[in-house]
Amino acid sequence: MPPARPSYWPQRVFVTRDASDDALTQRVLSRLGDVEVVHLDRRADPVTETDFGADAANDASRFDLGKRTLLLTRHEGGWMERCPAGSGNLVCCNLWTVNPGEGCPLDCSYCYLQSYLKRNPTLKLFTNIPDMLSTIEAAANAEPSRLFRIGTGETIDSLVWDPLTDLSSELVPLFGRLSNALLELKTKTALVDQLVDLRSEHNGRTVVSWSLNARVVTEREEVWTAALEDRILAAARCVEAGYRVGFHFDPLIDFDGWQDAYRETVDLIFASVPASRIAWISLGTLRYKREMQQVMRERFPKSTVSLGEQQLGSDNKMRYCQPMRLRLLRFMWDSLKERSADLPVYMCMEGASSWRAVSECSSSEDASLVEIISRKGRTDGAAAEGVFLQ
Amino acid sequence: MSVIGSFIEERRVDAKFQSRLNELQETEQVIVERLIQCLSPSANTLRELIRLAEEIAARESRSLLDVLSAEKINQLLEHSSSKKERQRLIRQELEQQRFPKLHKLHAELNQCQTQLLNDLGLRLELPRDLEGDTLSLTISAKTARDFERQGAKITELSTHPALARIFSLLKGDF
Repeated sequence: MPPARPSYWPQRVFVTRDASDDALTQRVLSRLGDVEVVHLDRRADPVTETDFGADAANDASRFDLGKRTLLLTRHEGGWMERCPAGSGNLVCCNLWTVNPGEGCPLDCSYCYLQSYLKRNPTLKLFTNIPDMLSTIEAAANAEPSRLFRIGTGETIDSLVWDPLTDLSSELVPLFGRLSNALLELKTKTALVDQLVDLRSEHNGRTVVSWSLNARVVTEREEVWTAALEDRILAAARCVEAGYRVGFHFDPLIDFDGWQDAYRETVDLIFASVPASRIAWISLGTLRYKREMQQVMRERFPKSTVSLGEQQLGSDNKMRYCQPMRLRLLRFMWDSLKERSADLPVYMCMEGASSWRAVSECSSSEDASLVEIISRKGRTDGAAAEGVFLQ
Repeated sequence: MSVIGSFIEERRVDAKFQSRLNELQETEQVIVERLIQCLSPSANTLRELIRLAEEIAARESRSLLDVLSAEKINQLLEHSSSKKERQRLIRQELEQQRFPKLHKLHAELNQCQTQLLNDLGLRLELPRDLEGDTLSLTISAKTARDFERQGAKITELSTHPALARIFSLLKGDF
C-alpha cells in the first residue's frame, strides 16, 4: 500500500535519461503515484532552465517553484566532502558530508538553502546510490585507523524522502558493517519507522539526530516539519531501538522570552531521552547571507526572524554580534550541562574565542569533545569510545 | 504637485523606492511629507529612515504611521539644530528602536570606557565589531619614568570594576 501523500511531496518530477532505469527512480516514481513526469536529455536545473513565466519571476518565486519540483538524476563528481563549516577561523567538528540529493521539501524561513541553492532551486535526488555506498565503504576501508563521522543532512533532510527512497535501509546496514565509520542522520521529521525496523542492523554505528528549536520558532518558522513533541517522541523510539541520538539547536534565535522557550525544549528532551543515550548536542546561532534577507521577507512575510538584531559581518553574513551570540550559547550550554555534566556539547560556526567564553576551556581540552572536534579522528583514543561506541 | 511627487522628480529616486513612495497610504503620506519638509533628505537617507521605521513597525505589529509620528520623532523634527543634524538624530533614534539590545550593550560599553578614561587616562580599544575577546591598549612614553607611571596605571586598570564589566559584557553578560 503506498504511503500517505504528504503535502510537501512534489507536484512535478523531471528525470534525466541516464537516471530513468535506475532502481531508485523506479521506486520513487511508483510511490509518488499520479504525478506529472518530464524526461530530460541533459542534466540541468529545470526551474532555472525552463520558462515558467510569472511562476519563476524572481529568486523567491523560483525557490517556491523549486520546492514543488523534483529532479531525479545521477550525481557526478565526488560524494564525500569535509563539512564547509570547518573553513576560516572556525572550530570544526570534523564531520564529513555525503549528499544523496539537494534541497529540502520542508520549508524553514531561516534556511540557508534559500541562498545556497538560489541558482539550482529544484529538489534533487541522486539515483546512482550504489556509487555513493561503494564510495563510503572504500573510503572507510582505505584508512582503517581513521574514524569517519559522516552526515547526510547538509543540503537535504536525511529522512524526509525515506518513504519514497528507502535510503536508510541501505545506509544503516552498511555503516553497521563498518568498524570505523559512524553515520549521522539529521532530520526535522518523525519518519523513523524504518529505523526502528533496522534495530538489529545498525550495530551502534548510526546516530539519529534532530534539529530542534523553541516551540514558537518550530510552529511559526518551520513549515511542514514535525511538531516539537513528535520529534522528541521519534528520538525516544530510536533510543528504544538501540540507537544513540543527537540534537542540534541551530539556529538559536533571540526573541522576547527566548530563555523560557529554549528551557522548555531542553526539559522536553530530558523527560523522554536519557542523557546516556545522547551522542552529542550542537549549538549554533542564526546566520545567513545578506542576499537571503529579501528572499526570506518575500517568502515568509509574517516571519519576524529577519527583523531581529543581526548585523552584517565581514563575511557578508547577517548574524548577532558576538556578545549576543554568547548570551544564547552560554545559556544553552549551561542548561544542558546542568542536566548532565558529561554531555558532549559543541558549537557550530564559532571561533576559538566563543569556545573560551562559553565552555571556559578550549575545544581541545574537553575530553568528551576531542573526537568530535579533532581532525585526526584516530581510533585508538579513549575518547573515541565515548563518541563511537555504545 | 505633491511634496512626495516633487521629491521623486527632484531626487534620484530608484524605481523600487519610487513605487514604495507611491504606495503610501494617505495618512502615511502626511508623515513622510513632513520628513521631507523638515529634513530635506537625499533619496538614500529617506529610504533608510523609512526602512528602519518599517522594520520596527513589522516587528512590533505597529503601523508605519505609529512609528514615525511618535512623540520622540516629533520632538526631533522640531529640534532647533540644522537639517543634517536632525537627520542624524532621527536616524539614531530609529536605530535605537530597531536594535534595542545592541544599543544597550554599546551604551554600557561606552560608559565603562569613559570611566576608565576619566579614572586612569587609559583608552581601551574593543574588539572590532565586538567579535573576539581581546582588548587593546596603546601606551606612549617619552621616558622610562613615563613607562613606570603607565605600568602603575595598568596595575590599577587590572582590578578596576569597569574593566571587569567590559569583559563580562563581551561574554554576553548583559
